[in-house]
Amino acid sequence: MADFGNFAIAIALTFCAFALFSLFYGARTGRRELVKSGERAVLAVFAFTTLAVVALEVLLLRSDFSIEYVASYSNRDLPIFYKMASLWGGQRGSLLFWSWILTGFTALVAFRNRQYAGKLVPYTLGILSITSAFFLIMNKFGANPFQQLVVDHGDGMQRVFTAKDGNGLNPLLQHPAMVIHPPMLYLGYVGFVVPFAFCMAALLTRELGAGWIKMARRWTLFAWIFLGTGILLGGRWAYVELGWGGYWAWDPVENASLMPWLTGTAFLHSVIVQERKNMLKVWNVSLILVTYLLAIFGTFLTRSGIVSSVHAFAQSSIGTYFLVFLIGISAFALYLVLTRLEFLKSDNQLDSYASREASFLFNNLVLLAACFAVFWGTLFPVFSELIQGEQVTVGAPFFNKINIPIAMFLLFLTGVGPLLAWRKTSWESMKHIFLWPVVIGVVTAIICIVGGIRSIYPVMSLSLSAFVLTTLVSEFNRGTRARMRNTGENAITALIGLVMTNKRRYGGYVTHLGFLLLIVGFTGQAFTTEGWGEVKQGDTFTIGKYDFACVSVQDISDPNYSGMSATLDVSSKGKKIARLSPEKRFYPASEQTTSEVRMHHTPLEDVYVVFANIKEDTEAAVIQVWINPLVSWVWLGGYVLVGGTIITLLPNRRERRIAKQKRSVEKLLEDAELVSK
Amino acid sequence: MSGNAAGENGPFSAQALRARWLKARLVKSRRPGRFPGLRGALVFAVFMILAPAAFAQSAKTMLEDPALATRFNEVSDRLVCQCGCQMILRVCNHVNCPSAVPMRQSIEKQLLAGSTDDAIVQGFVDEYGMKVLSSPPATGFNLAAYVMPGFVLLIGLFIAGYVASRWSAKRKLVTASAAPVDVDPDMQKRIDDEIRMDKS
Repeated sequence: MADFGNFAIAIALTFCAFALFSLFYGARTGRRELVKSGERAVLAVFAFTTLAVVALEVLLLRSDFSIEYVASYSNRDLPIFYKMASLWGGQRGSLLFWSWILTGFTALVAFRNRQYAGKLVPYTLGILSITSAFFLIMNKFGANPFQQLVVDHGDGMQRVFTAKDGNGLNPLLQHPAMVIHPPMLYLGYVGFVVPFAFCMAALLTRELGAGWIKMARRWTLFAWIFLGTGILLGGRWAYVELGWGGYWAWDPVENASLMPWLTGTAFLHSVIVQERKNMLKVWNVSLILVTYLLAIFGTFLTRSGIVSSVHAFAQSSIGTYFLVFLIGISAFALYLVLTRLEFLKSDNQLDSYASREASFLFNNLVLLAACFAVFWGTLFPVFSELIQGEQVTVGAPFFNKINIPIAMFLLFLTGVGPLLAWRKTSWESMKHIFLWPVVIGVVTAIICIVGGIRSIYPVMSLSLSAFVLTTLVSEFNRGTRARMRNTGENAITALIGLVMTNKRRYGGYVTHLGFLLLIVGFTGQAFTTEGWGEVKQGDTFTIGKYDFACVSVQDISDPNYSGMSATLDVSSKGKKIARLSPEKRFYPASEQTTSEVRMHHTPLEDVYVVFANIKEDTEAAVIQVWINPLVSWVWLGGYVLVGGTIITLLPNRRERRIAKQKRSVEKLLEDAELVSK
Repeated sequence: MSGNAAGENGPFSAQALRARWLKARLVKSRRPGRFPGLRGALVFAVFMILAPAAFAQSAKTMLEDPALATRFNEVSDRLVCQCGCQMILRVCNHVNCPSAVPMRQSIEKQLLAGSTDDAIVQGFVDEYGMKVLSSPPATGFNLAAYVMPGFVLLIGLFIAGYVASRWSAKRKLVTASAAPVDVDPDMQKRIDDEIRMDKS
């Protein structure tokens, strides 16, 4: 089966090389049959990469421990669900998974545009195939997941052997969120390759009109929402599984996923300015390129080990592959942009700083500043080691210090930007629009201060959130009333009609509402209460307003692990609200111990309980408790964010009708041509 | 009071977990075994050596004096666990962590002995180097870590301001209607247009 997988990758790579040649050469020379055969080759690349993935899954399910990857990331007792997820549990498998998604997206682009007769799509498929070829080369030569397990018996000779059992998947990864989180992230990362390909194809063909930007925007939105969902699921996993009371630690891996998401967000805003005002063409092209490079860079960052130490880079063979590819593609992209500047001329004109386009400009600036701060903080240890010869750590305190003010400014722009008019908003108009939001924001700040909040950022965050919420509500309110006046519909029908006739605008507002909820949720971290208690059966302790009574401490066992569990009754003001049983598990296969957190959720706070330890002198269970305010708002914000994006992605009835009419006209013209022949 | 002492007989003691692990291995050995030979023996030996320390992990601090507990949190927030997990020392909860547990024990001991926060942190810097700090000190080259993001934002603002002023020079002064009416005329027009287009 391993040979079959290897063979499938080799065939996929061969088809990829053929696709590259036939797509570029066919499009350049106008030989439609070559382009068609390139498109079919792209489908074949996907088919053979799928076979390679299937081969690895079969090896994992069969527990074939003659394969190094299977022996490293699976074991016999691992549940089937996690055995399948081991595909992305390690570096080699996850890179094959990357290739599979990328070749799938390439096939999807080819299939959806099979009727397209111009040059843009063949070039796009060609660019996608370049990235596919890079990853397939790595799958074949740099990080082959089908490599056999070998041992050195001390005589210098390496011999193939089959292990009797495997190391198992890291217990921390044995969680449903961790099964969904990496595919979501990969869909996001890989999704950003498609708009990049459209952009490069537009530069190569000099077809820099509205066509490519429309396709690039939809794919960016698609990638952006998957990456965002992946990031949130990662946070959810960290919160539930790691047991340290939080969901975001500014780890380099987390930062790597956040950076392209930030630049993608900037693009999704600035592209509106290009569509409406024919401005910022060079800027949008640059944002697409940067987002793509950051997506690849993120994979490089997490897979090369460069952040833990510059020396770790040399130990990882794939680091060199990535570095060469990144430099090569950056140089090529820069060359294309510089040589196509004359085709990227925009009608740049700004009537006022109090305009929608100016607010988008600031929004982009702030998002890029946030991205740079994350990039700089993540790579500063590398720079420090190179320049000072000494490693430093850049942890959460640094990122919080730098990024919280930036997030506040972004929140402010979220409230202001959408309400400003294109070209210019008069002072009178601004007074009319912003009076109530400002009043409510100030009142919220006063309530916060009177309520005892003395830190500046929580007060700012909550008052700005109130300001933004009021602007959003007033925008929906005014739109609904305008529609009611025109159609005579009731409020709910008018609201639904309002959203459905301009999904992009109002879906965007819903997304802003999600962002707002996220910020409120993040603010809750400023009010976390933490404590612990030592309990035996019948003992109690109190943290904040909650009392914890230990019902029992008992052993637990499972074929995959064994451990202990403490059962606690949680009550507040004498009323029982939950029974929680946090666990401490020991996984023999990987010789790791983990904490299984148990929580009681309310809309206002989470009671987060961890079985920390057994105190050996007293034999009491040590229970760590966090009272985390507003965490549910983070997850709710995530759902709203996804919901808003889905609304913007829904097909537009009007656009569909126009496209249908266009297709009918094209068919009529084709028929007429045939008749005349 | 320091609560990191390892006892002998707890159900979650090193012995109990070691026994549970051995039992698990015994059960597994009835099926085809794990990696044979030297590697397996080494893993077992390392586990036997590390186990007592590994399972004696504290729940962060067990200092009962609230002032000392607060200082413990502040000091451990300034440090990073050195096992490679890159987590802030206060929040690192790896049960098998050979770094966080002794570091936290050391902080507790030094706090009880009357050391200042800075002296405790400096002691760790002397032992592990600058990488033990959760944020680099704002001195020398490390100052660049703090200055650069702000500097880049300022440069960006300057460029954006310059570009915007150039674009403004080309502007055509068309002022949007601004009458403070119940519903914006602009919005009313847009909504009317949308409804008309939708119906057509």
